Amino acid sequence: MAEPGSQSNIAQRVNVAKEETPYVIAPRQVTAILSCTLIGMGVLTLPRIASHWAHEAGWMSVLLGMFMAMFGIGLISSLGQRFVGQTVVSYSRQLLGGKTRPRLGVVLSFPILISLAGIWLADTSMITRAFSEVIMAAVLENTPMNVILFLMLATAMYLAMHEAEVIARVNELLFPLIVIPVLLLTLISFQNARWNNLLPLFPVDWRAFFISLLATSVFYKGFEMMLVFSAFTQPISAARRAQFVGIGIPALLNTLITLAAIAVFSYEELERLMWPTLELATSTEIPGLIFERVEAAYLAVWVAAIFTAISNFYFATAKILQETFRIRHHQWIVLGLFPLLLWLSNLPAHVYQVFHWIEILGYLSVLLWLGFPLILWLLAQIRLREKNGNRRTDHPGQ
Amino acid sequence: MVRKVRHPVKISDLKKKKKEEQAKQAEKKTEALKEMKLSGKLADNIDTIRQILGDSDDLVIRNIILAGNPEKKAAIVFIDGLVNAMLIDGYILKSLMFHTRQPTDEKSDESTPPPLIDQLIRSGLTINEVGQANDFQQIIRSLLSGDTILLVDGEEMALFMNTKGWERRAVQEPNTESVVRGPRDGFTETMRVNTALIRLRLKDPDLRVKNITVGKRTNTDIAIIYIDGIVDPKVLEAVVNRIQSIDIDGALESGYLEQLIEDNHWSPFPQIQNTERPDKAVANLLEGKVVIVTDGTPFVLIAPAVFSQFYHSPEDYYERFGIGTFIRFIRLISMAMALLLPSLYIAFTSFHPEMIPSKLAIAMMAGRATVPFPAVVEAMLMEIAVEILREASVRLPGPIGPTIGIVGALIIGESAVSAGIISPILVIIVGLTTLGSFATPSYSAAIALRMLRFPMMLAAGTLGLLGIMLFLIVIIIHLSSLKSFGVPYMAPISPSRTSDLKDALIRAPLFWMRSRPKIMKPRDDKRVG
Repeated sequence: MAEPGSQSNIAQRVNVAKEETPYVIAPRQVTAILSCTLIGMGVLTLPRIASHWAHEAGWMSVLLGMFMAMFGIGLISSLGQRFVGQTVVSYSRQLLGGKTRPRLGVVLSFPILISLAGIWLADTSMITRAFSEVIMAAVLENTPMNVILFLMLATAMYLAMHEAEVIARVNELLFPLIVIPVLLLTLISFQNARWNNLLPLFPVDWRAFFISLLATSVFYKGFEMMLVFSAFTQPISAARRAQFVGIGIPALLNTLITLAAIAVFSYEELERLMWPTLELATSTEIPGLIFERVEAAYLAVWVAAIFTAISNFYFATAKILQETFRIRHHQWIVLGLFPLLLWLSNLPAHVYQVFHWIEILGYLSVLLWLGFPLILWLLAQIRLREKNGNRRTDHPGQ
Repeated sequence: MVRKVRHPVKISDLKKKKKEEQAKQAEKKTEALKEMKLSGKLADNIDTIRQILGDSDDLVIRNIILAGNPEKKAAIVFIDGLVNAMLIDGYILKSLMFHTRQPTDEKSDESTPPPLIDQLIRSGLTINEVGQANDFQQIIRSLLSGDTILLVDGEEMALFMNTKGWERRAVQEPNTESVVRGPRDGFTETMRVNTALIRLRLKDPDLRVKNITVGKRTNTDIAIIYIDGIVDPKVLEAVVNRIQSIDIDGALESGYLEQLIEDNHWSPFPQIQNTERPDKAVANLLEGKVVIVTDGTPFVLIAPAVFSQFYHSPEDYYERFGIGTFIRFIRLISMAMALLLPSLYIAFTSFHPEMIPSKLAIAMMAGRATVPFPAVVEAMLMEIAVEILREASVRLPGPIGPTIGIVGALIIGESAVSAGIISPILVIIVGLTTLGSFATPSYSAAIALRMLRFPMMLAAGTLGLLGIMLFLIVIIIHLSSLKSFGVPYMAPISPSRTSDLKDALIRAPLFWMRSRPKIMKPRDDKRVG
């Protein structure tokens, strides 16, 4: 009955009959993915950037910057709902090329997809580099930078090698571990707040406020990852709501952090702090608990946030490249991108260059996530009027 | 003329051929045994049985003369030690040799009288379970299971009677899983006793017991138990298929089965639960899981399994919900301690001494002043010593075992401290870690965590708290990628289902638990009306 000597893989040969659902990411996991990624992006230097132009009203610009991000994610989620089970690769080819000339769609979408992948790669490496700078400055002074970079990227690679299901689960697991300590610490740090640092409420004119709005909306980048992840979610309204909630939670947290930072330091001192959130943690005393300088523990929690951000980006990049080049398993791409990421992370010479690069990348990605989904969405509306819906129920991601 | 090019033979093909030949030969042997049927002559049959068993000395052959048919010769065959001799003496031999049967009213329309064997079954033998067969495979198998075989000269069928009665352990309290409040009986090594213990608690006619034999040489009996109507049929099918695909010569313990049918045997975490307690098995049956009872071991398997099994104990449900929730938190904390405490010590002393409150830091540094090793080496040495001690105390007999454990830990700890090899706070930490791993109710999970704390210590020694966090993330990734028979391992924490969470981290009151856990996909999910 059984072949002799092949006992090592009984479980692979006789597996449980799979359910016929390709939607492996539940709505709650979508919220978790978005929140973990966005918290990881912004928490490093957001308060400083926010208060740079808007002064004391920095927290308001953070809160309002949320709406731009909501607009972006609204576009992306309606695209995802229309093209059920497909990632941006397949539906951008469809929309840009049309039924008559599919090759045109492939050619037209290729540079955009490659630039998307490139920006995400650069994002991954820059965040990793920035975080390693923080670690080295605050906690591990004597460790070589490359060791930290290597270990962070290696762990991210381990996660990116798995399927979307596992990534969603890990995000879901790490979500409370990230949100609760960050929230707690922010709330506790309010005990050092001097509330008159927040006055006047509207110190700058509309132009400066608007620039600040644009600058802070850069920190909501990361949700365009949903272009890839929406292939795995169900096209139900709960998933749409989950995406908006997924933007709302980090928005709230970022607002609170900025508020606390402006209140504890004033905006002038804030502009001169390189890592304002870290300083917030340093200045916090937790009375009664047995630990004192808790920034090391705070950084450890932060690792989880950064880690989810970079591994989500890593996975999304690998998925896009897998589909563009029709490679069967994305694991090979993940492996191949690793030395590239390591090299990119080593490129900036010092931390100011890192900030500079992050800024440029931020502007580029705003361009991308405002422009590209908008164009696609408009095209989809046009084509919707031409024909009657465009539903493909293939295996997702093909 | 074109020369034909010969294709080179691949080595893998040669190996395959060899394997196929071996398999064919093995099959021939079993086929041969199956083909052999009883001949009509008693002496030939007895000789065949003797030959198959190789003239084993514990084979007993008792020639008798049947009371009702004195002209026919008959013989009783059994294996000494496997049978209950009183049954043979008092019921089989007595009813065959003493009591003449009433002549049956043969006013039936049959032209030929029914065969002797049928007559014996119907009215001659006062034994509760009988069967007949005419192929040697079945006869030998039942002989080796403790049945008695009756062979009659001239008949082509043999009779086998259930006379199983060997020495078995009494039902005792399981010593790996004791509880304060709850039943004290545990499974034993006999499969029938175990299935009976489950039936006693679950008098549901939907309870199904399905027998399979595993192991070419051991022919171990396995019973797959499930409740029809609750269990997810896909999981059941997968379990049965996987067990039937096992091709091994001996399945001595349920651990063999567990390792062969597990989804991922490279993982340190068990994806199939095992237990010695019938009440735990029944509780899991009611949730829609499948129980696998193996003959020869008191540990039954429960599939599928999820991570929350590690800190759940049946005791949580026998007490009130506040106590159950509280104890679960204690267990979670102790699991975290068992995994993290030595690593935290290493991280704090080597990388983040500023985090320790000043007074404690001074005391710690004073203790560490004489230690010649870095914190990593010190902690590793002590942990390895404790592991050796633990293993040694399992092997020591009787009352010496626990004593050596206590004495060893104290003396080794004390003398190491006074010799200046380790610092006193490390003794406390190691002690707390050991206690934490004992508080985990599931032994397999405790081992997994014990094993994982060594790489965690190395990670802490490399990067401090950051290293601990990264390794924790690696463990979380691994746990999230595990599946047990299609159920995600970290359910119901992730993917989270709020309705199942009420039994995961806390223990909600019984009247809230209206439905069975959805992660098991039960077909009938109403528990409380």
